[in-house]
Amino acid sequence: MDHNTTDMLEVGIREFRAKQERGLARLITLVETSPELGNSIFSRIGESLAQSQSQCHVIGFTGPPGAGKSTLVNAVTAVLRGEGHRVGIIAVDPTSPFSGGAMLGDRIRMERHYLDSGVFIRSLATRGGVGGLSPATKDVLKLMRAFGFDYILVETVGVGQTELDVMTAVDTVVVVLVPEAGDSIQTMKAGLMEIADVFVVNKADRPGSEELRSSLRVMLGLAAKRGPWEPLVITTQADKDIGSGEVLEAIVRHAEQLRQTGELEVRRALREERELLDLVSAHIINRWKALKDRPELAELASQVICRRIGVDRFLNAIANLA
Amino acid sequence: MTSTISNQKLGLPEVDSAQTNPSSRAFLTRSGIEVPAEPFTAETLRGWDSDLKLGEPGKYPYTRGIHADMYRKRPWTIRHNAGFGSGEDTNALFKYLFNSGLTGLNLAMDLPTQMGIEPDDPRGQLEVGRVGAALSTLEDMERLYDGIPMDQVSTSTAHNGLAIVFLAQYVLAAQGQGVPPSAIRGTVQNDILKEILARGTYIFPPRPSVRLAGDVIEWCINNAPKFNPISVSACHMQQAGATHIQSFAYTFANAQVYLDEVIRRGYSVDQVAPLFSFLIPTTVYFFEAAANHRAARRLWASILREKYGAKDPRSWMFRAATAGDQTELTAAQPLNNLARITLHCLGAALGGSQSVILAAYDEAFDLPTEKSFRATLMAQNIVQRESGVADVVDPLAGSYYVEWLTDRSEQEMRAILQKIADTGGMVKAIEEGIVQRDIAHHAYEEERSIQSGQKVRVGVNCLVVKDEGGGMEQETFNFDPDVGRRHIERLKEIRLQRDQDSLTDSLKALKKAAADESQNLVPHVMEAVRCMATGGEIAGVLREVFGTYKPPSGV
Amino acid sequence: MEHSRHTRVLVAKPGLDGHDRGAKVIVQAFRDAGMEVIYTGLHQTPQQIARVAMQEDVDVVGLSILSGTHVALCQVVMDELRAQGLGNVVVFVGGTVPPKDVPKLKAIGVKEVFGAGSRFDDIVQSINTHVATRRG
Repeated sequence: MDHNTTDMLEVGIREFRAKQERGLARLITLVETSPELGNSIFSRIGESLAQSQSQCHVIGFTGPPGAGKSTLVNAVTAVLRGEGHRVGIIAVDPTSPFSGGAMLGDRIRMERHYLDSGVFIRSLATRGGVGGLSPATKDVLKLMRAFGFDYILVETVGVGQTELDVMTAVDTVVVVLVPEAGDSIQTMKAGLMEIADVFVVNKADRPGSEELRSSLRVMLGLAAKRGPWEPLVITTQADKDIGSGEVLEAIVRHAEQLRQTGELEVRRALREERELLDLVSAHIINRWKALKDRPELAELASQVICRRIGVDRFLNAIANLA
Repeated sequence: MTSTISNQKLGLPEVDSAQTNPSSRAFLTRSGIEVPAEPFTAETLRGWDSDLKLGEPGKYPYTRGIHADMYRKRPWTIRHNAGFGSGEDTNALFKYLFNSGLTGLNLAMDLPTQMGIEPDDPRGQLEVGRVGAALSTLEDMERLYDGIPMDQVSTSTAHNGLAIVFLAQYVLAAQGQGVPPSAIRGTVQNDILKEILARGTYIFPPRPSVRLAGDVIEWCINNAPKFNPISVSACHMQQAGATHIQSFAYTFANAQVYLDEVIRRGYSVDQVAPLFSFLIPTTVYFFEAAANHRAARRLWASILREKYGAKDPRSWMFRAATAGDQTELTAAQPLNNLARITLHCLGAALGGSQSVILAAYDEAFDLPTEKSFRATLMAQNIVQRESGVADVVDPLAGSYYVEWLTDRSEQEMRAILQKIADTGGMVKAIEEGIVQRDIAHHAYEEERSIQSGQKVRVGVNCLVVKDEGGGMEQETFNFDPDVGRRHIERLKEIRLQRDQDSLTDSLKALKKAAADESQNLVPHVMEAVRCMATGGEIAGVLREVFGTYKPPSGV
Repeated sequence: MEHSRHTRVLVAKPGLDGHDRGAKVIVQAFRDAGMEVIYTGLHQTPQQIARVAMQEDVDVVGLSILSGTHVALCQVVMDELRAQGLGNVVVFVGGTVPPKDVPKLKAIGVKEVFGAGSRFDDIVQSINTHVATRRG
């Protein structure tokens, strides 16, 4: 760890413990920089993390581009603030595969909360993540939970194919659609249908919103369920703050049912399992990357590929190589 | 005779990469149409029917101009583009111009006025009176026209988001001089969609904004027939990064939104369309400036006649003022911009503009000085009076190249309009951010092509003079920082003197009317203005009903 | 193990001027130079800009100003940044800035001024240098 990073870590942790947003902002930068820095941080702020686990509800907003996810997040935040809750927002935008850079533009629609000390907004670039979130999103969520927000809203990338990551990162999944999606709903990727706890038909003043609502209901009747919860369909005009209260009510009902049925524990256990597996595989991959030029490993690797030796021998080898 | 001044002495590089390596240059028009290397010949125009494509000057489809004799009888109006300071400063300027025989006044307003923000709001304080006059209340407007007979001048102003407030203030100030609405003349830009797309001085979301624009047009149809209630503008879109052709196509899409809005209220197309005028850009690439203007006249005439069924020839006419493209002017070697300004003027003249406004050579880094302002004015006079370009009607007609370019331009404009129609119309395309993204992407592409040398900018990417001192010795415009403070103090006095009850009543009535889409808001705004409501207060009431516009995420 | 800290930049439009061609162009150029760019959109107050810069923990704040109010606006933005503990963020200005105002801007803490015609390469290189110095 270079000098500057150590400083930033120390200052960040001090500010974070003093509940200063500046500290949260710094620590987010660090967990984004590397998982190892995340380890150093979490080992020192673990106590606040443990306390916060049960109180904070995390909501994911996903859906196709142009559906109005940011606008809905903005509107729901206003309702939450009206009730006095503290809100953390994570807005994820894609990293350009060509340059590694990114344009983080979602927060532009959340301007009315900029000066509100009860709202903290952070934009993340996917940095190689392919599931609609960035690899560090889960660590950022941890930090935000530990910071003491009552609600955390996560807006995924809206690029379409594989934003299913959100399901394993949050407690409630809100899928945002627009009336124009009605025609294509039959062929819509099944995944998006199955992960939704709440459907929002946004821009409901446009033609086709009623049709979309009813076809969603039909499809929900046919779809396989994740648990006892019956997904709700809410119509909104998020840009006019119409329906955002109902969206929040649906989320709260879902949260209550998750608690009552024990489903919350099941989901969080699944999330932890997934996180564990992610950490383990990231570790192995990184170890492999660091060692792959060793001649002894190359031979071993080709034997694994030909199934001549088992994976366990291979893992042993990379674990024990100095 | 050979030159005795060497490149070295001029500070120019002996070897210039753009000249030694012409292959790095692309042969594209300003809009990116590829220009073939083969000479244009009669073959280029095979099957081209001059009766259909050109017609006669002053007749449908007006390709050759909206008047039969064009500049022989009516030279284009040379317009100035100055306006700064307080109401008094502008009043002094207006009096000077009026007493020198100029009756066409261009009124620039400061940003708080344009945005409906109170001058003492922290967001607006620094900008009071800076890029134009601060017109908060009716009293400011009355002071502005003090001593200037409002039935004898014509005022043009680029007010958009709150054009309705400008109209109310202007009409009431005129009435105060005994001049009825039927006698006022001038133009209010009132083109809010291009603010949302390009210039950024927007307040409300697109749909209520279009309603306000429609209210202004409708009220003028019935009450102020000599006043032009809209000037649909392409310039700002080109400045924001649209291609020259895109900027025309988007303008036609916007214009049809306004047209439809008023026709929807029960007016015939021939009552509405003749009130429309346009503000279009010209470019250094003057062949394209002319070709696009000719294509635009033909296309607008055809849209109005074929699509709208307009019968009155005045509805078919594309009346346009032309402005120079400031983004083509460079901060490096600012005097070079005089050559560009001259080419801008040539493009506007060859295109057949009704009036021309050009930038000053120092506008790439500051407001114009008196010297730069005068140089521009003289350049325009040289083109108009010395060059002979104004002596012939549509001198480019029949040119293989220009007619080919005109046809291409019309096709491309039609294709863009079709694409907008396919996405569900212009308002939807704006709400979705589709057009904004196209403009921003093209701005970036254009900048990259200049930086890579594909697009030549003399003094920027070739013939760069090293030790120029960054124009450090330039004189620049000096702003009086006290203007804002004086304006705010006076406004505070006005606020104390107003009749609070009638003010509150008028704002309440306005709010109620705003919530009812069938109401025209001009009379309600007028009542509030009469009660000395500020533009900021009126905008505040309307924001409560309409909401504020937030652009779509991303670039 | 190799991990890079991405350069994060906030491009902001303070004040009421709505000309954002330059801001949007530079946002795209920064993205293509591998930076993570947050664009505030139009009509931002200095307080808003400073809070966004704090939450996003940016290394750089770029201000685009074309209304002639650059000196006064930059002063307020710098004050607000300091109030958020961001006194050492690299601030640069783009837009229509007369050369005579450049020393004034630098005196209040602006690191660089990039007027019309500035090359992307130069801007990016300058920012990288300043960011490297800041990170030590």
